[in-house]
Amino acid sequence: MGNVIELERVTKQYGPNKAVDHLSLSIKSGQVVALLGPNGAGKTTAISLILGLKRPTAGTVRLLGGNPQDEHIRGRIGAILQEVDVIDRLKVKEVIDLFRSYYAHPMPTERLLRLAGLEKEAELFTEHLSGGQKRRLQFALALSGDPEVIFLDEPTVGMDVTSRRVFWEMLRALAQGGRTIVLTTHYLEEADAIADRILVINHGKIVADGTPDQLKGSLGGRYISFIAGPAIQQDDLAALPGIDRTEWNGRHVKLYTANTDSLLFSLVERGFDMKDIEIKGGGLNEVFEQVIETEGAGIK
Amino acid sequence: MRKFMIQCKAELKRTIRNRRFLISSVLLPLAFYLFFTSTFGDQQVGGTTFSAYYMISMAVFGVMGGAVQTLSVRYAQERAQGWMKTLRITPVSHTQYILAKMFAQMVLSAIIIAVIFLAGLLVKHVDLSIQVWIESALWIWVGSLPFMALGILLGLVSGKASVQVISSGVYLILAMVGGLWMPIESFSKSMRSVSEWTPTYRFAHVVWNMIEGKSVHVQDIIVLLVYLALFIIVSTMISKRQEAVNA
Repeated sequence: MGNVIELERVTKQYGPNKAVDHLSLSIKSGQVVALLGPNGAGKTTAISLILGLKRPTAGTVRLLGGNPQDEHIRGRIGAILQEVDVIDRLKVKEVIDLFRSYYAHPMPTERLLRLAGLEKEAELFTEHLSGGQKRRLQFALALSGDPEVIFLDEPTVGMDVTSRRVFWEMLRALAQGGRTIVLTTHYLEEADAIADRILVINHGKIVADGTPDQLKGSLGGRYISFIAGPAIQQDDLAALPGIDRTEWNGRHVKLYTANTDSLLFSLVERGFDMKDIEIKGGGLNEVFEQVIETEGAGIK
Repeated sequence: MRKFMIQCKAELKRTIRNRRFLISSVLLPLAFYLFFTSTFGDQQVGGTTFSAYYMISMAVFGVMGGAVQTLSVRYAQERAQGWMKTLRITPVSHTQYILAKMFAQMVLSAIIIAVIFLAGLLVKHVDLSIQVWIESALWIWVGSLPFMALGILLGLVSGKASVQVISSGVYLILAMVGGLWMPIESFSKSMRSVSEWTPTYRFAHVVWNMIEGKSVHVQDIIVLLVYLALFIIVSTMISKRQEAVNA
């Protein structure tokens, strides 16, 4: 399958600041991609550039093989943007029907209401919806054209637990239908649970790119930590095989490695004086923190 | 075309559900009309009765107010709430969207004209030939174009918080200075020369002439066209600049 999204050395500059810095990426049809990064990392700018809402300072952006500002391209995508409110004095169903009229092959209204979990709210005026319900309505609007590519910029912000769960279920169902989904998030569980590819972005650059499992494995998010006895010297530990990185916090030591099992054996074999041994299995959280801290040097 | 009608229908529903519109653009002119014609109804103004003259004033007042206020407030809010941004990722073009809004406003204008004219005909027994009734109604309907353009312009330059005050201010001043509340014959000479430059005076003057059986002044139409062109040009310039800043 071809690339749905292609960015070639795209830069977006505001004065001296580069919100997006020589970003190149391609996303294949049917992928579910999460753009992960701290606030201000450039995720929203990247999405805005892909959608044609912002023009790049340099580089080229192609969406579905064309210009994102073309009408026929816009008819094939859907998006939830940030800081957007729904127009008032219309009922939920009326806004959905209005949006459906914009597209050549819209999804049936009933299906949209069901997907967004808004069947009971269909006759409510939009100004009477809660924050989470509004967000779900935006989701229904984003889907109303039966889009091939769906963009979701921080989709679950402001959602309560129920809304968020409903939303995740919907996303999974949609992904199975072969649609390409691109979402930004700073919730790691969200990226881990939904995406089959994660792009970690910081300072406008991609600092890591891979499946959730690849990131967890190759980035050495796994570590063994313990309280080191007074006899242990820093050099003793650094000499151990397979260690990526060592962290000392007083006498509290963290040893990062791809293989925690064999490291544990070597530690025990050498009879080091250790207390409170803990093994951490490389959660995405650790990976994320590590990538952001080290600016992704040498990783990719 | 179907698309356009659905958009118009949605806009119509939204305006009709807005009580503010109903009060300031329909009930207020109607109340003014009934009240002031009961007080000064038999007097002659120019070559016609006050009941006929003021019927035109109030129809113009309602149509102008509806156009300026509804379009400006709606547009400013939708810009502030990011709704315009949402639309930019749909296949709907900005021009289509604005045209649908204007068309919906024209449907409402027709209703306002009908209400005021019916009050004139049935309550105040205004006596005009069928031709004059139709011509004046049509003129008020079409002549509202510059005011719709003004509404869009105000919506473009005002923020969500300031737009109510700005548009109400502009509309009330235009109505008063343009002689819609009181005939400009009662104004001082210097005030009158100011009035003659307002688009509201020119708008209404065309129809006052119609009901007095006078010919329409080309000058009135030229001034209105210049205003229309001005509002559109300035809006386009500002909109281009805002786009450049945001892009």
